[in-house]
Parts: sequence; C-alpha cells; structure tokens
Amino acid sequence: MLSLDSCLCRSDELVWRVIDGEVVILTADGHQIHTLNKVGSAIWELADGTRDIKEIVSRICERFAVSFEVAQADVLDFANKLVDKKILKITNAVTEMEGGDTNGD
Amino acid sequence: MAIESSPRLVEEVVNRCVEKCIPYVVMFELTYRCNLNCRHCYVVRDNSIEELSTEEVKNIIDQLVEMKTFFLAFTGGEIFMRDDLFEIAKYAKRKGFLLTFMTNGTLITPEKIEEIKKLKPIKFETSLYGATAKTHDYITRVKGSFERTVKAIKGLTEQGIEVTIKTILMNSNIREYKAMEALAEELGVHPRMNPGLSPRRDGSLEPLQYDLSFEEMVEYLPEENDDVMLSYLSEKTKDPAERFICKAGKSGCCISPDGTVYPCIMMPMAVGNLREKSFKEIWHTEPSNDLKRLRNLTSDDLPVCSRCELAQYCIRCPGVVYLETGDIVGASPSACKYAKWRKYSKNQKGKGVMVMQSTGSKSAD
Repeated sequence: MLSLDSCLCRSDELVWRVIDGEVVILTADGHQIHTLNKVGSAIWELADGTRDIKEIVSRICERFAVSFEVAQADVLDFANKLVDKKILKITNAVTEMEGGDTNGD
Repeated sequence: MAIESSPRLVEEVVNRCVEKCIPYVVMFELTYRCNLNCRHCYVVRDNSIEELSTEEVKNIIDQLVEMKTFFLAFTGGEIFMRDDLFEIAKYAKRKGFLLTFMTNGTLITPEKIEEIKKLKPIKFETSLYGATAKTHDYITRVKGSFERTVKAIKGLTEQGIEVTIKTILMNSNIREYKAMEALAEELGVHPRMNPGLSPRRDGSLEPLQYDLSFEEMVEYLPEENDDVMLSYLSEKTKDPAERFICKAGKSGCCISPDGTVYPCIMMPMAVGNLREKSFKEIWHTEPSNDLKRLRNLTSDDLPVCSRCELAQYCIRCPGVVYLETGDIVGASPSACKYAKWRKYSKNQKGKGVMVMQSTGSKSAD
C-alpha cells in the first residue's frame, strides 16, 4: 500500500529514454512499451529511490503550479498504476543515489 | 492519462524515431576477426584495422545513451574473439540497453554461458548453416564448427537462454531446409531461415555464387511459411510511397570495429568516424552529404524501381543495391530476381504474394 512515506524507485528491469520531453519505457524483453506524459515523466525522473512520495508531490506542485492535494492524488494514482505494472518499485527507505551509471538521459 | 501502453505505441514511437532521426537500434560490430571463414560472408577480412579499445567502446556506449538508443546489438566478425566482450556488455547493460548477441557460437564455454545468462539479452542469435556437420562445415570451411555450435546452443537453452538460429538459405544448404527445421525443433530454438545473399562489402560478387537459382527457389522455398518468407514485410510493399524506403541512416545505424559509422550494416557508405567526431556531430549537427541524401530519398527518386511492374513483389534493400551496383537509386539485380520469383509463385500457385528479404547474409557472426 502506498503512502506519502513510501519511497519510489524505477525498476532496473527496463530501459527508458526521454524523447520529445516524454519518457518512453521498454520492458526488459522489449515486448512492451509505455509512454509517459509531461507530468508522468516528471514523476518518473524524480522516482530514483532518493525521495519519498511526499517530496515528489512537493516537487510536482512547484513545477506544475497545482495544489498539494491535486498533486498528491495524481502522484498516488500514477505510482499505483506503475507499481502494478512492475515498472516502479516501492522501497521501504530512501536509498542513497548511486554514482555514475544512469538509465535514460 | 499519465501513462499510455497501447499496442499501437510501438509503431508510434518507431515513427517518431524515424522522423527525428533517433537511432533507436544500433548494430555494433566489435571486431572483424572471425575463427570461421564462411563462403558467403559479406565481411571483408581486414587484419590491419585498428579496433576500438575497451574505453573507446565504452565512450561510444555513453554517447548512444545520449542519442536515445534502446536496442544495441553486438556483432562482428565473431564477438567472442574479443576478450573484453563481457566487460563491454556489462557496461552497456548498466547503462540501460536491450542487448542482442550475434555469434557463431563456437567459442562459447559453460563459464561464458553463465555470464550471458546474467546479462539477460533480449536476443541471442547463432548462425547455423546446415542440418549436418558436412554441410555446415563445408560452408564455414572449419571442420568441427557444427559440433561446437550445436553444443553451445544446447548449453544456452539448458540455462534458459532463448536462442534464435539464423540460417541463410543458399544452394549449399537448401536441400536440408526441412532437416534444419527439425533440428531447430529438437534443439528448442527458433529458426530464422531466409534466402538472400549480398555481395561482400568491398563490392566483390563472390558470395553470390552461393545464391539460389530460380529453379531452386521454385523447388525448395517454403512459400507457406510466413516466418521464413518474412511476410510481414509485404505490408510495406502495399503503399507505393513507402515501398522502397527503409530506416537506414534515420532510426538505425551500424558502428564498425574502428568507429566508422554507417547508415546500416549492409551499406558501406561511411558517414563519419567516432575517433574524429562525436556521434551527435555525425548524426545530427554535421551529417555528411551522403547521409542527408539517403534520408531524403523517396520512392519517386528511384527512376527504374518506382515504375517497375514488379514493384509490388519487390523488397529492395538500398544497402544491397549500393553494393551490387554502386548506385543507391538504381535497380537491384538480386531484388529483381526474387521479385520475379514471387510473381511467378503467385501466378503459379495462387497463394498470394510471398515476400522474402533479399538484404544480404551474415555468416561472420
């Protein structure tokens, strides 16, 4: 169950790139493709394992000039969908950002 | 919706890559060295070439992340001739690519299979040119190569790695087509068997002596097999505007062992070298005149092919015609031959248009 304290992390079993400002995700078998709109792409890029949902919501509020409540509902809805698809993972604690290698751009 | 996942997305994303010249698929030839010597191979054996170092390859991989490449295929030559293959592949995996390995399989050991398994490639392709050692070894000109390749395939599948065997159908092995199909089933692998040889990349027509004759096509080619005949390509032939246009130089390219960039593995038209320029410069900011011309080609630019009565039966590869004639807008003798056969086949058997690729062979991998 997701809460504001949950920490989101992108699955490392996929490949993603930003094309025209939108995130394009391919699953590890190359058979499924997902695209994220601007808001989804922003959430995705923030979901690097270093932030909890509360912080992600705050960043979305700043970036898209929406209320905390609206952003919270959108982020939770989005995160739930991606967790269901095993594209995002819930981690218990905020993890340290690994240096060097990154996926996407 | 913040997320879209419909099946039509693949086509949409590919079209976007083509339109914006994003090289979403890159073939990386890590070496031209090979321990086999296949009769029909298009690769020119050039031992004088100075291969990219491990660090140079990694630098290029970094650039491909920036270029938004998704699919990265390692090919050769024989990729396992490079001692640093796994170092390179692990680096690419960490950087986030969907990897494909193309190999003849003969140098694969149980230890290497363990490493391959960890890398989770989306495709693992092994060349196999016959159902018997006699035929395969005749084509590779290396005794024992069949046995070693089959052993590798068995080892890979036992470890749960999905293997595709790639077979060029030619006059030396076409009589074993059914037996190869049975062997693939026995090995538990997907067979990808297609006809169509290309000249060697130095322009030599020597490999074409192994191509199927018209009579052999009629007698042996299994038209009922959509997979073998690549029938999905027939969709493309329906639209005259799209008929002869391919993604080479737009959404796909090939990098050679010395860092030369080509629009396609089958098109030896150098458009820049990564030791001299960045990928971004070669591909986007300073594209060569050849690359610009290739990207702007339309079916209307092909004086013969666009008006040809066989057009609807034709799968013309710009790379192969460039190799065959040096004229990228000219007619391709091999494509013409196969188009004639498809027309004949349709008229004779009334089974619809059969489509196959005439875009060259690959034996060195």
